[in-house]
Formats: sequence, structure tokens, C-alpha cells
Amino acid sequence: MPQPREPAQPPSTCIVPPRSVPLSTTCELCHNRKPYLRRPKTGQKICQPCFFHVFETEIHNTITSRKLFYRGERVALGASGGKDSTVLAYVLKVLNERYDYGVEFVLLSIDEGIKGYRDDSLETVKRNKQQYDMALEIVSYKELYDDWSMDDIVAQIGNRNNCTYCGVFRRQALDRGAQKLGIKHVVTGHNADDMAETVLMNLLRGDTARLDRCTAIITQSADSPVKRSKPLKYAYEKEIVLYAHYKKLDYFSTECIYSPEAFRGTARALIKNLETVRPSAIIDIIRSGETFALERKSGGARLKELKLRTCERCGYISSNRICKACVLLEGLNAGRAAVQVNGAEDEPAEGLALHKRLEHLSF
Amino acid sequence: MTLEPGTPCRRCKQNAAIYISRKEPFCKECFVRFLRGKQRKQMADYKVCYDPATSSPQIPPRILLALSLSESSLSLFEMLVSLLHEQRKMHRGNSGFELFAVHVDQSEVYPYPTGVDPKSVLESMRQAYNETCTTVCTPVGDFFADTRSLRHFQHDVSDIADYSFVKDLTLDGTVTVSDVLSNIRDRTSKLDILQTIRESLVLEAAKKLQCTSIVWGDTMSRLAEKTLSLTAKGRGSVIPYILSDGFRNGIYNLYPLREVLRAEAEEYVRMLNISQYVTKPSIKPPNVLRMMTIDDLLGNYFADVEKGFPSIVSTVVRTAAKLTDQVAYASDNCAICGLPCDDTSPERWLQDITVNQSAPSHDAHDEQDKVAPSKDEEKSVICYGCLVATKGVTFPWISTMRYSKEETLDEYELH
Amino acid sequence: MAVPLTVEFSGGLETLFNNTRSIKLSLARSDGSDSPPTVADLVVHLCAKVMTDKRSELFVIDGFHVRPGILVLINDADWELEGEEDYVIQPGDQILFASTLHGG
Repeated sequence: MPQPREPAQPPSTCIVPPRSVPLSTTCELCHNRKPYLRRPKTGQKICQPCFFHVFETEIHNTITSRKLFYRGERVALGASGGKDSTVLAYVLKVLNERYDYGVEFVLLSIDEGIKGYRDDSLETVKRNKQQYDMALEIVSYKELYDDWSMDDIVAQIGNRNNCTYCGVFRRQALDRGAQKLGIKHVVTGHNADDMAETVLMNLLRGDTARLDRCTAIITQSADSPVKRSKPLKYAYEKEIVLYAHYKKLDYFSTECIYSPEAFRGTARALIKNLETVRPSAIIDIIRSGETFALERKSGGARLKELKLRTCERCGYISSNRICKACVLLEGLNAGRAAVQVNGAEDEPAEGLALHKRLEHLSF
Repeated sequence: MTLEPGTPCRRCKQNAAIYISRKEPFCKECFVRFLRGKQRKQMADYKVCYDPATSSPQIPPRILLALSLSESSLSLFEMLVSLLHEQRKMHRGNSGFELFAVHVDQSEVYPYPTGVDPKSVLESMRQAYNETCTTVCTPVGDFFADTRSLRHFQHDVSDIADYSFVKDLTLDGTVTVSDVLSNIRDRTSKLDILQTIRESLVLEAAKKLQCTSIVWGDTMSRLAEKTLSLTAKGRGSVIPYILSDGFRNGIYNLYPLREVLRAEAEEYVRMLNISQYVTKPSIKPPNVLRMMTIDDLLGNYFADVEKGFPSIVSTVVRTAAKLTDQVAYASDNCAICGLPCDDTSPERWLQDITVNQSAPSHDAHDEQDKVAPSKDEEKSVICYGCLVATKGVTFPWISTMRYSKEETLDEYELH
Repeated sequence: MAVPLTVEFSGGLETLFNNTRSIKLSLARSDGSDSPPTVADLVVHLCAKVMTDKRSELFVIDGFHVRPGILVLINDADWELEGEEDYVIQPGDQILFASTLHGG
């Protein structure tokens, strides 16, 4: 520490640098209350009221600076009953009232048909509907996809590529649910850890199609009529869990029973280890991700050519003749266990194992 | 995959294989040729050139090898020296380049095992290779021999408390690299700054020795690690600039081992019996997570991944190569790492996503923090990565310090 | 000296502990000495005596260090403010282990 030279300072005390004294036991923001947590992003030790204030205000700032909503907009909130979407619903309700966004939020849940997992979490969402006074729409795989529930699918194809099916089906299901409600915007609970994980995953698997776009706060893909946004993009998972805990929010937490628990060595484990070594790493990775740029060879031209059409089977917007969901359905209906997405069928053993290992979240 | 005794080398089909790489059994000769071929492909331009008019050989360019004395840089050294020998033999004493091997001796901060002196290691290497090259050993402390280097740590940059270092600096000529590093508590940041110092010494040496190229010994494995570690340190924007071959600061930088795996470089050193030159600091990387640096962590991650899924390593390097270099033409350079920086106020980005105010109270003073004094004077630019790395760092030789309001308050509270 | 305390599990972590959300126990130092136990002692005890799932790597790494991604709250405060594993447990403390790793 530097030693001030100004004669006005009492000489006996300024020999001791302020920082070597045991750390202060008050919140570093209000200098008043007892601190309850250390913010991973800044290292600050802060109290609960200051935490609620900065957590909510940062989300508000994200919403206003990126102009996520407009007055009078109806927005669907992808609600799983888990911590992220529950915190998102609660905070959006608070902010909508506090800052008078004039936005109507509707809870939108997907019932994949997984017994013992989804039934319980749907009960949570139903309670959230009451607690947050929002409308709730539940769309089930069964009603959308020829009477196939996720349990049925796993019974048919086994445990190997079920996440591929679920990912494709869920994406469409959210879109369809939104369309059913006449809504063009879905917000999801993806948090900073999810974003950082996606950046690393896309680097590890060389996914250049997604690498520079995966950190975008608003995404709209060619084959979807509905835009997505992620208001919790900069919110640490740690803070989300603490927020839910301190606010005593009602959420449901169990891993999907079909999701592989092979955690060691995944991108998620890497993210958490990086956070332990340097807590700001998560936000630093997002920063890096936002600076990634890729040249696309005549990318613009290709996009124009790729004019939107509708799936011949289901009429859903698709970039191909038949949409991905219908391709998968065809396989299921034909009673074939083969997977035709991404040519996974021909992947050598290493490719499959790698895929399994990297696959933890699919956006 | 294990090697069955008696398996023939798949290349020459004559000798017995002694090593398997990328699922292929190799004999010693073929493996050495295989790796040298990878290096030569990257350095095809450094061949003996003759003046078309006079048919006399042109003056060869000078190349600086950044020689850390790890297995990778040592194997690159051996490859370059063997290439020189071969060129001289074929071209009546002429060569396609002149080699200067520069080692930065960082024993001031990370001592070598007792009895190990990098200078004498370099000298015995030079003699062993018939003095084909010039070796230079630069102590890391030379960085501050030139007081201009201090400017790296002298800036007034940010409105975020704690980042601001003060401009008035007293130089009494006694600042050492250990001083600088001892003020950085975070081990990742420490190594980050040390690397900046090392690289700037290598660059200085290249200028002094009039080298037009610098070759680095980073293997494909190391480049993959660096891609992720730069990403994790918030330095993603410079990945294409520093990890691809190209001009930096007027000197051409290249990575001739970019297609060689670390395990292959290690095997190369073993096969050619040059392990005695490998010189590493005696400090062992920690095996407890919270003691690790970001580089330690990613090193372990890739060591693990490389065993099971070697293709990931090349995927990461290939992906990094596809990123567009957006900083190459930036008009500013970071005052600390010296790398180009296209965002002149990365602290704004942090401020935009960070609220630093307490919960509103009924007292009226909650607005006072909001007004940040706008400074018209010119500020040095610090890149995001260095902003993170130097967060909360203060330096002892800075004689006067503008206390931030909070610090002053703390002091009154405590005394 | 055995100290009484309450231990809670949430965020999906309870599945490793026989779906128990809260237990009361009395803990002494694992080295048998008379000084009060720390959180490190508690973690060792939980692994050895309380955890029913055999996959201890889902709870601890590098020996007995709590796995990154599991939050520890000591009387509702982030354990990073309390000295983490070195925190000396006081009688009546409430210590919560919350996983952040489960579905959102």
C-alpha cells in the first residue's frame, strides 16, 4: 500500500495501511448492514437489501438498455418450475410494477411427459401462476407430436440420444405454445453460467455457426416465427440461487431423470472450476464471446436464398421441406431407433462419446 | 493403444516401431522425420535463396526463437538447428535463415532447481550443436532496467474504484519484477503480467538483434489451451491476433509446431536424447483446485481431454483460426499488455452490467455516487483482460495516492 | 467437544442424502481433539456417515473439498464471508448446502 505523504495525516496511524486491518464487517455498498454474500462479479461483500437492489436493477438495466420489451407487448415466459425461470418470473413481475413497463407476461410451460419429474415441476408452475398472478399455458409433447411423450420416446429409442429429441421438440413446443397465445416473444431463464458454458462448448466442438451469435441477448432464427431473449444473461447462477433462497421463492429442483449425470469433465464442471479460481471468469467469458466474430462467406446472400417455407407435414415454418421435428417423428413412428440428426448414425465411437460428454445443455 | 512387440513402422515398413502417435506405429527415424516435416511445412519460406541476377546466395533473414527450455521449445530448437545443418550441407555453407535463441531467465521470481543455471545450459547447447546459432539469456529483471517499461503500470484509467493507478510516479531505479508481482495476489493475474513482461523482453531482443521473425514453440495442445484461457480471462478479442501467424509490431510471428501435439514434442525430446536441456522452474503446479491458475486448470482439462478425445484439440485450434481479427487495425494499444485494443473503454461495459449503489434508503444521499467526474484529459487505454488482471492492485513505488472516497472512509472508521 | 447444529440440503443435493432436507446432529472434531469442529470436519462427517449415495464426487472433490457449484450458507450467510472450510462451528448453527447445478 502507498503511504500518503500529506502532512495533514496523523503520522502514527498512516504507517498502518488501511487494508491490512481485519476486513470491515459492514456491507461494502451501504456501509451499514451486515454483509450476507460475496458477489462473484465484483468480489464485493454485500447485505441482503443491497443484493436485492443490485440484482434487480442490473436486470432492469439489461432490459432497458437492450430495449427488450415495448409497452403493451405480450411476452411468454418459458417456465419450467426450476430456479432460473422462477426467479425470472418473480423479478419480471417486480420490475414490471416498479418501472411500469406495461408488459403482459404469460407463463408458458412444456409438458414433456416425464413422470416423476415434470408432473412435480408443473405443480410448482401452477403455484407460480397464483403467486405471480400470471396466466399459464401448458403445451404437451403428447398433443403436439402424434401422442408421443418423452417417456414413450425413451421407451422406444433408449437412453442414448433422447436429449436430441427433447431439444428439437422443446424448441418447437415453446414456439407453438407462444403462437397459440398469439405471442411473438419468449423470454427464457438462461443465466450467465449458461452463456459462458455455451461459449466454451461451441469452441470445444468447433461450432462456428453458433460461436459468434451464442452470446446475443435476442435471437431469432430463420425457422422460427418467435423471437427469444434472455434477461438473466448477465446474472450469475450463484446469485440466482441466493436470490431465490433469500426471497423464499417456490421452485422445484431435480435433475431431469434422463439427463446424464456424468458431470466430471463437462463444460459445466469447467465453468464452475473457473469460477472457483477466479469468480469473474464467467462474465469474462461472456465478454470474450461478445467480441468473437466470424466471416461468413456470402452469408447474407445465403440467408436471403433460404427463404422461409413451411413444413410439408405440419405446416410449421422450416428451412427444409420437412421440419426437424417431423423428421424425428417419422423415425419414431416407423419404429426405428436410428437417429438421423447431424448424421450421428455414422459417427465413430469417439465422436459419439465426445458428443455425450459435451452435451449437457442444448440450446 | 499399446504397441505390440515386433510391430513394424508403418512408414518405412522395415524398422520396428517404437512409438504410436495418432494411432500410427513409428520407428525413431520416421517419427523424427514426421515431426520435422510438420515444422518445415510451416517454415517453407525459410529456404536458401539465390539472387537471380548474380546467382549468389541472398543474405538470410534473422529468426528469433523464444526458447523457454520446455520440451516444446526445445524440440523446435532441435528441428531448426537440424534444418540449418542440412541447408549448409546442401548449399555449400549457406542457409535460409540465421538463428538466435533467446531465453528469458525468470529465476528472480520462479527459481530453477538448485544448481541449474540456464546460461550454462544454453552454452552447452550451443557447443553441442557446433555453434550453429547464437544463444542469449535475458534476466527477467531487465524489463525494468529501462524505466520506460514502468509506463506499463502507470495509468489513470477507470472510474471504478480500485482500478485507478496514479500518474505521479517516483522512480528510484529499484523497482523489480518481484515487487510488481508481489503486489498481485491473484496467481492467474501474476502469471499474466509475467507473461506480458516475458513477451515484451522477447520483442525487445528481436528488435535489438534485428530479427525479422519470431518463432514460438507452442504446440497444438498449448494453442488450444491458450484459446480457452484467453477466452476465460476476457481476452477473447485478441485470440486471432496473437494465436495466428502474422505481423505484430512489425515482426512476423509464427508457430511452427501448430500441428504437433504436446505428447509428440515430449517424445521427440526423449528419442533424440536432449532431455538434459529441459529446464523448468522448481515450483510444481498445485493439485488443489483453489490454488490453481486459469492456465493450470485448462492445462489439466486438456491433458484429460487429449487422452480420450484428441480431436478436440485440433477442433479448438481450427475454430480459433476462423475467428476474424478485429483488433489488428485498432488505433489504440493497451497500456499494460501492449496489444491492440479496439474498445477504448472496456470499463464501460462492466459498469453497464454492474450496479454499484446501495439499496435506496429514506435518507436523501443515495444519488451522490451517481455523478462521476467526467475527465477531459487523455486517458490511457487498458484492455478488458488487463482491467480484470490488475483489479485491486496497487504498487508500492507510487508515492502519492488519490484515495477513493471509500478508502478514506475506511481509514477514519478504523483508526 | 461436540457441538449441536442443523444441516440442510437443497437444490437437488438432498437426493444424495436419502432425500433428507434437514438433519440435526452433534459434531466433534474429526482429529479427536477437544477444540470445536470446523466446516471441514462437518464435510468429512457428512461424506462418511450421512451420505447415502455412493458417488461422493457429486459432493466433494480433491479429497474433502466441497465441489464447485455447491453453495454453502452458514446461518444464511455465504460461507465465503465466514472463512469457508475453516469456519469454527458454533452451537446451534444452521448450515445449508445448496446445489446450483440442477435444472433451471
